[in-house]
Amino acid sequence: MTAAKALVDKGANVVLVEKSESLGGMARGLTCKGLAECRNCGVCFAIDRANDMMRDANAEVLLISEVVSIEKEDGGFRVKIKTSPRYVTDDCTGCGKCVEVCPVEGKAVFPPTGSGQPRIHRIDRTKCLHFKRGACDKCASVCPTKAIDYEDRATNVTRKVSSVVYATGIEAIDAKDVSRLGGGRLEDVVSSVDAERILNDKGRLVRPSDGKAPKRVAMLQCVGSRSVRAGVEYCSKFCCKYGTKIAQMMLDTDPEINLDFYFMDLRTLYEPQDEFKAWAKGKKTVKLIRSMPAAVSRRDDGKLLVKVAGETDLEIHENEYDLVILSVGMRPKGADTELAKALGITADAYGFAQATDALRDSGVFLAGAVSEPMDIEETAIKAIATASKVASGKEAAR
Amino acid sequence: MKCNIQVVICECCVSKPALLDIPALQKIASEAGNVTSVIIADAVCDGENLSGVMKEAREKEVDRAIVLACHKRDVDPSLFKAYARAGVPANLIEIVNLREEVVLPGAAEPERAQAKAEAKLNAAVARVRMLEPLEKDTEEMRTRNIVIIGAGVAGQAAAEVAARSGAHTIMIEKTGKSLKSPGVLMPHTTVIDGKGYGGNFTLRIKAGEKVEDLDCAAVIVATGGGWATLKGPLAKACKDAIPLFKLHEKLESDTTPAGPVVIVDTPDPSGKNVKVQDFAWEESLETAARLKKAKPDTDVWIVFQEMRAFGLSELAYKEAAELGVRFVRYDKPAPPKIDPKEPTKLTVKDSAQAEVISINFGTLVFASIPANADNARIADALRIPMSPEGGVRRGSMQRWPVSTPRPGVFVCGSALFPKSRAVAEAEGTAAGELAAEFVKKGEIEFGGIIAKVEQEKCSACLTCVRTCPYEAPFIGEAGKIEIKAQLCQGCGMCAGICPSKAIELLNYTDDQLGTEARTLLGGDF
Repeated sequence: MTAAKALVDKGANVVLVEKSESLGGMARGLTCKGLAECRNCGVCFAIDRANDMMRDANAEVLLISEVVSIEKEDGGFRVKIKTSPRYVTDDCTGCGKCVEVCPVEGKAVFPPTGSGQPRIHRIDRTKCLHFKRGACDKCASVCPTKAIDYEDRATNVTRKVSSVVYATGIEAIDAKDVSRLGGGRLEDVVSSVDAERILNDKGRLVRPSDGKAPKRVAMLQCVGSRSVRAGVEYCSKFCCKYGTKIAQMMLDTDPEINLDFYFMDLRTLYEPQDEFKAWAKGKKTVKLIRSMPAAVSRRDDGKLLVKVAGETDLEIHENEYDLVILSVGMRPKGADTELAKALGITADAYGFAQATDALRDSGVFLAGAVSEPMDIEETAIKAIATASKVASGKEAAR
Repeated sequence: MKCNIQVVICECCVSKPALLDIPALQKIASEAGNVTSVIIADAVCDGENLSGVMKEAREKEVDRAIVLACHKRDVDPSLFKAYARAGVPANLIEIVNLREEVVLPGAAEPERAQAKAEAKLNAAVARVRMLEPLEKDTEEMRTRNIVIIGAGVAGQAAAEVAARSGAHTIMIEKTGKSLKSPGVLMPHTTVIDGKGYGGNFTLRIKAGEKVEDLDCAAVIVATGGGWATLKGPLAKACKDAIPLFKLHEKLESDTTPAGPVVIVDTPDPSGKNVKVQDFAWEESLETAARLKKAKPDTDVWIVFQEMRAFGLSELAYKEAAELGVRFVRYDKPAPPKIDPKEPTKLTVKDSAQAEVISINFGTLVFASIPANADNARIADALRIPMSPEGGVRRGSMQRWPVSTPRPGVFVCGSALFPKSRAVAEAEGTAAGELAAEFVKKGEIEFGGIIAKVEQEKCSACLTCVRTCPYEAPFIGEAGKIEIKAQLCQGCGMCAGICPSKAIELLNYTDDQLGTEARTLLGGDF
């Protein structure tokens, strides 16, 4: 989005193709980390750019859309894009009444993920009773703006463009992948993103199992990344920044929590003086432990046991917690698809798209964390640089 | 002056879901004093159906407007443009957020929502009646120069991109190194002072021995890091330690010294301000691995506090470890030491094994660079804040990246804190783009909603001078405070803090806000 914004600012026309129902990427699911002061997490930046894009006349935003094919054509590209039906028109105000009345278990009509823009809802055809049995129209009858349109159809458009910016982003390594640490196996073991969601929904941290506030919490860094076993040998770069901000937010909302923060190396970005360490030192309730737990199990009374080697001795300890948070890493998304291949994008062993001169000369540019791990700020900076290269490439072609 | 108010009710904002009694709102509006026109139109907030609204505005000679719609941020700019053409300046258009503040939260209680909407409408009428038109002034940029301070990786990238966008660049470099960037190149030049604001800066520079003034529209700070020497007790004991880039040069020219090599993460491990610097890791790990590959028999040690091998540098970490580079982590309270009697022996407590290790080394290398000592002078000249570590501080992420709190001043590369080459280049490119965009406007706009001083009340106590983050208030010729309009950002801090109540923020004066508040509180909700 930042690349698109920088390009429209330079007078270019941009077609933004997004697979999901809203703009904002990974940042959609995140929220502001500052309670009293800005902690520079950059989430608002992403959401603001989404707003810019929705309103810019030179940007065509195609949501729930996928590129079907790309062909080279007179120095540019001919892109075929398929937009799937949303079954909800632009009249939707995002009031959420349809979600309330939907009788399907797990709901067949959804709001956009997190703070994604725009706020228009979406119907899942495979779950919706109207499509399955042709009977239900509860959402349509309750909608105050008559925005439900069961007759919505997929559309295909073709656009001619001079350059392609490939920014398919990342996905979180699913905490379920690490069942050794209880991810997906134990109810009170949650990922860092889940923890943020709980903090926002409930205003404080609570255990998913009984809704009670936890007394002792363990936070485990480097889950799924820096791991030979998971095939993710690189460091995901932003999780230390993210994890420490979640920890600070958690303690800000609930100072009663005793937090044990397990880590390998503390790689907090943009903290040249290790501000997090200083912050942790100032709190009696926070303990930083340089050790990676081996396993998490559940005792009969509901307590979680974290098995970990001591920091200084080599003894194995079993520490008791009410809640365990796994700070999960990321892996690149979409660099090894058929579409990527058609554009000449090659992925390395970890799935990161490789930026090469040949790729750039052919008019294909990479932006964002699909090419290497980075946080929101670095992504934005590099996206402006990419936009600059795109624009200069076009001038040269002219 | 006349006061004809037009009230516009945006249908898409206030009637979906149907909750409010719109005819009642219409009636209240048309019966209020000074309101000469009431219109209901669909999607006004999206900039549609404006022609009818504007036609009536012209016919009824409307000079101020109230729009009942959604959040001001979501209202399309074309609405303000159309009103400007019809003779209504932006500050006389009051956008009342009925959608988010009344309609959406009030769905369960329509009566309360209606009362709230009416109260907000009445308050808006009361307030708008009292507003005065404020015009914005513009000032031509005297030059379109972009001054780039520092000709390192970031500075050169910035110059190249800015020049390509058609801007005129002036590169200022402290040293005499040969410069290849486009535009004017000024080696052996430093910035010693500056005044002005984004669009019209005047920098005082020292070129060789000559001091001169240089006009420019934007400034890019790309000062990079400083030159390091070993500091503290280590420096006393070991005289011939070299920085990492020297080791790199030796590797290039194949003149690497014999004996084990120890790379320490900072030039002053026992110092109070230990800087754990991010850039150093990528370079240290790659250099160590290269050294080990070139000379497998050489012992290579890396002594560090925190291994910040971010992102893909983790792979370099792994490679270095596999090649046999040895890693020792120490804790800040127990830094590595060298006994002056044995200047080639480093002792350090390895906190992973909890044992003390002695290393006999041939070469001691320190990997990090400190903040540039020139930053303080440059930040002072440009009036931009510094970080506690001595770097330039960037603005909030919410403005754009690589910006500073001061419009027209951008910062990139290691001037913030040490960066890797790739990141410095990307930041330089971004800064060049944004600076070129900034000067392309050709003029600066100022005024409008700014602070105003009632000089009779001013006792020249300087409270506002100390409070203002933008240095806008100053003591004028009359010995009283004046506001430099170009610098004022309209934050209102001076108005709030002035003990004599001599300062008011235009468009938000005590009278205007007080009337609005009183009307709101009189409402039934």
